[in-house]
Order: sequence, then C-alpha cells, then structure tokens
Amino acid sequence: MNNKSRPKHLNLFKVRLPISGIASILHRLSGLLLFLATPLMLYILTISFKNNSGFEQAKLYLDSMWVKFIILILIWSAMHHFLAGLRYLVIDMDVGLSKNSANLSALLVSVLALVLSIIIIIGVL
Amino acid sequence: MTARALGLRTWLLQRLSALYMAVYTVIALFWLYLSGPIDFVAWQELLAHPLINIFTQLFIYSLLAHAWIGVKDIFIDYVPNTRLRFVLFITISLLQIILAFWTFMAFYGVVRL
Repeated sequence: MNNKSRPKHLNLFKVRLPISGIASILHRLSGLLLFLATPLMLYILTISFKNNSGFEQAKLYLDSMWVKFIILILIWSAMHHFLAGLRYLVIDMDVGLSKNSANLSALLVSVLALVLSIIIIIGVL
Repeated sequence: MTARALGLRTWLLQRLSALYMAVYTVIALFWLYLSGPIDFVAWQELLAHPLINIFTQLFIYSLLAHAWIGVKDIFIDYVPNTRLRFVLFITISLLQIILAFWTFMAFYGVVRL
C-alpha cells in the first residue's frame, strides 16, 4: 500500500492558520452546519407543498423562535459556503494562486459573506 | 476502479453539484423574490410543474451528494479511529439515501404529469 500515511489527522488547536486557512475552516464549518440542518429544512419544505395544513404547519415552524435562530445561522453558513466555494472553483482554474492574492480573496469572501448575511438578516427580521 | 480514480470522480461530482446548486439557487431566489408572497395553491402549482419539480429534485440530490462527500472528507481528516470513522461513514451514507428517497416520494406526489 502506497497510501499508508493517509489519512492525516489534524489537531486544529496546534495549527496557526493564515487568513486563507481560516476561510477554509469556515468553509468546512459552514458546510457541516448546512449538512446538519438538511433533514429539518427538507422536512419543512416537503410538508409545505404537500397539502394546505402542511403549508400552515411549515409557516408555524418558520415563525417559531428556534427555527428562526437556526435559519440565522444557516444564512451565514450558506453565504460563506457559497462565496468561499466560488473562490475554490476559480482557484481550481489556476487563477489567484499566489500567496498574496489567495489571502486577499480569502479575506474578501469571508468579510463579504459576513456583511451580506447581516444585511439579509436585518432585512428578514 | 482504483482508489485514486474514485477520489477523482468524487472530486468532480463535488464541483459539478456545486455549480448546479449555485446556478439553481441564484435563479430560484430571484424568481421567488420577483413573485413576492405566495399562497399554498400557487406554491404547490409551482412545484407541480414538471420542469421545476425535476430541477428542484436535482438540486436536493446535488445537495445530498455534495454534503456526503464533504462530510466524508471531514471524517477522514478529524476522526482517527478507523472503526468509528467507518460507523460514521455508513451512518451518513444511509441518512443521505433515506433523505433522497424521502425527497423523491414528496416531489413525485405533487408533480403534474
């Protein structure tokens, strides 16, 4: 086996990350949060179009405090995951690979995601 | 198929599903924003349309596959115990399959053929 050294297990508390590394870990964190919320969101979506009472039920869920709180987190998660993901697609095309531009784009998407989330959250509330 | 080629295939699936979801999300949000508040009849009517029904199902299958690959990578990096990692891997695989089946049943139930 030539892949005996894989997989590598990383101790996150012993690693000092540059901004591109922070954006990367936030990409993972936001992805994980979106994954965890999928069953609930899928449930609310599928009852919403099933019948009239399901639609009303879905509205009740979306109006409840705990679902609202989850959605606040999901708005940031989706925004960061979307923008940081687009950045990876660009990087996959060998654009912006230098250390400086990689750090700059990482800072840009992280800040932009945060600012846009706050704007959307204020708009929703 | 070798392990390396399988890795390349999931890498590609990760990118293709991401692209599909990105395009769908932008169009869907724009559409919903333009149409404004929607009642149950219009909402079900919208999702009953065969194309919207299929494209929305495809979005959810993309999401499930995309998340499956991403979470699998997280387990590979942060769960050192082989047995635990295997159990987690089987768990998320089953979960995504169940959610896909759930999605199919729900969307098939309203599609206007």
